[in-house]
Amino acid sequence: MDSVLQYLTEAAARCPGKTALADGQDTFTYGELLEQSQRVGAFIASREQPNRPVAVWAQHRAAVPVLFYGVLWASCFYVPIDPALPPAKLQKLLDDCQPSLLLTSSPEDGLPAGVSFPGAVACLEEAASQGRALPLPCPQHGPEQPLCLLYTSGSTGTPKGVLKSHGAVRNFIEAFLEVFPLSQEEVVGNQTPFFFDASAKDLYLCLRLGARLEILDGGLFTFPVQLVRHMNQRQVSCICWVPSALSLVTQLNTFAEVKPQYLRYVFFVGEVFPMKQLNRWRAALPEVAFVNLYGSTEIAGICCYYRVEGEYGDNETLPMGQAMPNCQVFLDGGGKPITQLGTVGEVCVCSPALALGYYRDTAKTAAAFAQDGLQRVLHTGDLAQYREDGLLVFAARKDHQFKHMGRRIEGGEIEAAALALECVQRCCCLYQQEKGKILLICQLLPGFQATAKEIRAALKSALADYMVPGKVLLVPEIPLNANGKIDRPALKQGLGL
Amino acid sequence: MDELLEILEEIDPDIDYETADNLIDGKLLDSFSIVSLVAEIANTFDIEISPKYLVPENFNSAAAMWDMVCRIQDEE
Repeated sequence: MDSVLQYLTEAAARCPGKTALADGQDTFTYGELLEQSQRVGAFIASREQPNRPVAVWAQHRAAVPVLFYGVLWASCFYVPIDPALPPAKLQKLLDDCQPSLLLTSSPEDGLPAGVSFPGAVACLEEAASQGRALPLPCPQHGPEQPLCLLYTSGSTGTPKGVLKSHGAVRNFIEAFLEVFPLSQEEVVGNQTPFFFDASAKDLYLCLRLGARLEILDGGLFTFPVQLVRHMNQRQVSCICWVPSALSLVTQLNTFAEVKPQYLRYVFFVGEVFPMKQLNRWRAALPEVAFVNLYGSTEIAGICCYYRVEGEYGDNETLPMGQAMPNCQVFLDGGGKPITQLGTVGEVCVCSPALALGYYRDTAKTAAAFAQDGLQRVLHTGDLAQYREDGLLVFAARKDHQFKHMGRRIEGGEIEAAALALECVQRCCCLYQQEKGKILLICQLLPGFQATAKEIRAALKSALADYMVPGKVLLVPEIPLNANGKIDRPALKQGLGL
Repeated sequence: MDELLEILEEIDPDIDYETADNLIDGKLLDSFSIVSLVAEIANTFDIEISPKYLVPENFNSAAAMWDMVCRIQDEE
């Protein structure tokens, strides 16, 4: 069996009564997870052909993974949808992948007004009860079978979906457990939303181990003392969070009040962890292993890791580390691999864990996944160099992509949304790393009147919430360079940035 | 109080802080806003906001935040 569902059937056979998924309200044991997901799968298989996308309304709830695995039982692939997307953005996404079924965790959930969706909507209870009397599907497919379609920011504003296979996810999970020998006693505290790529690690590690996944409500992160108390109550031993979430715990001085008692592993992924905050975590929890993970949405899981060892000053940079055993990672310097120290090159990855490509976009797929003989090479767009001990250190992006709260954002997507407004003639998106703030500079068309506040309000209805610029600045003129492109250095200088 | 309102405007200019009384319960401010807010308040008023003050009741409105600032200043 090449399906990740093998993990589920094995865990359900080993420990049917053990809790597999828990949030603040609901729990599912491995036995329940197997039964419920199979019923959902039977329901889907009765109305969908295999290999079709099935949309899942991906709230941060224990019921959502049940729906994901249900989709897999029907040999379809799931498309997790951020429930907070504004209708216009949601519409684009649905138009791009054209699912004919949307699954939700409860009957109250559904598409907001203004979104046209010709397909059917079913909640977990409904799907499972209808699937009960239907024949159980038996997935027969190879490792190349698509597992999920994840949407990420696209530089032109059109949705960019990354399709990943069962084989890629399994390949990553096995490699990860080779490096980090986690056990079935682990309790994984999930922070990353299910429509965000990073959450797949939590899901499939737990499934493979037969471990418990504790879904931590987003509200807990607002006042982290409550969060840590909750983690202690649930005996959370392993977390894989974005550094922004880890940072807010120490920024609010939480450990002066309460410390995690059961934590053994802290993995972080998605962006650079500010060293000052990492040092505060390490000082408070000296027995805990801290591991920097580096990956890309175009890979299942990660391709590099670095177990933090030794002292680092608050201004030093943590390396991305070394390649995972299932990945070959090298730096490309214009067609030639870079081996010497101090030279920056593009991070490239060869691995069975690479994604299948961008959904229905062969041109973009061919550009990012170069064919090199029999193997495919992912060009990540991240620039890095080697440290003296041979570990990789992140340097910069090749393009205008940046990371904000662990999510990757194409500056171009924000600019495209602003340019779609009638009043904006020219604009430029800048990211202020230190402040963690997205800045959008706009030049209005002559004769148009609009305030920064109005532009920001309009962007809220076109962009996912984490992409909405924290500040919109209106300027009389955005400078252009000799090629007629926006002169970013001059613009920054003019603004005193 | 004006300084506090300025800080809040900077964090999210679209909220009417004079009237809003459910900033946390209504999810108008998220966790990342709270971090910036706490840091800015601590800097501006030169106070230390210990974790025991970090409860939703103290952040649901500008008035509640101002009240908290005054209490901390009195204690120090």
